[in-house]
Amino acid sequence: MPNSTVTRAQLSEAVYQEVGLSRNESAELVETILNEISDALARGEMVKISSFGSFSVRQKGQRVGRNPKTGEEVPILPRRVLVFRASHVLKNRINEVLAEAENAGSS
Amino acid sequence: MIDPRAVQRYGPRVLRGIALELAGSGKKGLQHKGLSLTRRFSFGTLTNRNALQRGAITAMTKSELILRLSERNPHLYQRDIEKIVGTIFDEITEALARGDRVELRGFGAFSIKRRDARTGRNPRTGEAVTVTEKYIPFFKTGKQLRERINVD
Repeated sequence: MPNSTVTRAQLSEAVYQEVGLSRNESAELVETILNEISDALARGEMVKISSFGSFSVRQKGQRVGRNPKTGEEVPILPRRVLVFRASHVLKNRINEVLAEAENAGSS
Repeated sequence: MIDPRAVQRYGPRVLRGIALELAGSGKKGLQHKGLSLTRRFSFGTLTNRNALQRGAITAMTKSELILRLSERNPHLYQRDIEKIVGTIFDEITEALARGDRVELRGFGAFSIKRRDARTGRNPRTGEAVTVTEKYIPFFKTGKQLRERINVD
């Protein structure tokens, strides 16, 4: 399986190819979209993107953790964490490729 | 933010209907029995009823994200904005399907993780079933976003 990394640059390039905007404006829009999502999450809202997944903020209580190196106990303060839940469409799409590869191997 | 009185009076489902109607009509808001509903509602989809009655949780959906973006970018066609948002999530999906990682500094990183084949059990019948190996999408929050979420 190939393993390269996709970054903002590739996303902007895809937007540039798809819509008749300049490269600069495409990059700005990618940034604006990420900012809108971040802002909503920072306000404590959920963000639901159909056929992709949803992001939600979950409140975690205080607990006792341990420094794995020294074994020392340290309190972990209550905090908020971001949780991503992938939609079935996304999960299926990812596993489709695996299924295809398997079928190709068996035939 | 949602006015809790509105949720109490109309219920989440009705309110969502009103919100969508307002979003589609371009009207700024409406008055109903002393309660004013504004377009702000069009950005708050109702999810968890209890949390919503406390006025705590709202959700932004893809269509609401598109609405916000077109309000901020009046020089662009909404059609194009829809295309742009779609393209971005499609690109991420396809990258993950190829086995690639998607790294968006400050926001987070998407990757896939392998789950080995295992023997599971049907919880109702106790019957053993084989679960084939599969890949699951995984998201790790970026440092900047994690810090923002924890700022009060």
